[in-house]
Amino acid sequence: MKLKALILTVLFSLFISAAAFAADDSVGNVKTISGKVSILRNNMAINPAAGEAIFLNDILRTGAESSIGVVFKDDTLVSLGPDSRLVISKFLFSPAENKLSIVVKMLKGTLVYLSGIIAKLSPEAVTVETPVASIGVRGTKFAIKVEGNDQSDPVEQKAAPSSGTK
Amino acid sequence: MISLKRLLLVAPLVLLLVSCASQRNLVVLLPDQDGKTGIVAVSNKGGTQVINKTNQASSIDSAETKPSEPKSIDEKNIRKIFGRALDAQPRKPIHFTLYFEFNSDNLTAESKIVLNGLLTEIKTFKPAAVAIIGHTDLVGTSKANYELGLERAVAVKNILIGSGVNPVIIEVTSHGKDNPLIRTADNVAEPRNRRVEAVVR
Repeated sequence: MKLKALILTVLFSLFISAAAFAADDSVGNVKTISGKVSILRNNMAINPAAGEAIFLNDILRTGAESSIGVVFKDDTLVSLGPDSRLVISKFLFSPAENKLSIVVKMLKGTLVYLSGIIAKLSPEAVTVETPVASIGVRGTKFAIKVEGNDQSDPVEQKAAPSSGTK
Repeated sequence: MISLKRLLLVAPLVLLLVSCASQRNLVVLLPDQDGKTGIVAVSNKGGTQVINKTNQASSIDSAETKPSEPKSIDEKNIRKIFGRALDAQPRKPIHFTLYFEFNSDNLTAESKIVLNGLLTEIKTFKPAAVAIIGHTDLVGTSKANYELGLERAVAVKNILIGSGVNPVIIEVTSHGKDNPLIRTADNVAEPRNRRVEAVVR
């Protein structure tokens, strides 16, 4: 019994320290989830719960009839509608050191974006990229639709054997 | 026989071209919660298009063609295309500012009331995460002020924990004297800079 309690305590403290560590490098959190949603991180698919931390290079993915909403540490709000893919490419938020930048890549689907503090302090540091354009943001709310194309989906690309064009 | 073989060879190529051609984008400027409208600039190799009016949209056919002149799009269509994404927008984070007495981690009397508002918000905002950032005025060294800022942030964190907030959702940092609310010369005492910012998101 005692041993079991000890193991539980150790596991719990590991969990807490992992959570504390995660909170430090994360760029934001998942806030709303509906339907089939996953996050591709280091080639592993995670099924996020509300509150889940998000990190640089995460790819947010939604299935049919699904959606996800996230909040970044600078208060930027991003939500995706069904069949969407979004890459978190860059996020720097240290106003004290004047390091400010947010870049996301919308590969397909629908996105609604409400800019946060980075756009207020440094508007030129905010960009949403799509396969055919780049959108500069000067403090505002807007929506983007990117019509689907599996060639632009790194997940599905990985699944198919590459012909080796390097 | 030959034509079938040729068709089989050509078919994937056609599919590829079709799927490449279907990368059409639409960018729509929306009013924000405060009713304000900002500006977005849509750029690619073909040029740049600025959208600065609510519910105006520019479409982009390819990376080489200039984004179209902004045109009005009605709310019904916006809803039809973006309804699910709009419904998934999280609540806007809420900011609180708590002030401290000089060279101390004691809250001012007024700020104790603000603290109650902060606690209520944490309990109603679900799932809540709280970022607490300590700041100081410009009296003293950077190092001492970093530590004072951290002490202030930790003081707020401890009050929250004491009121039943889960420590896992709280993140504490200090900007010391680097991020004053009111710009002053070095070594100027300024009460409005002795503060903790708490963001509930």
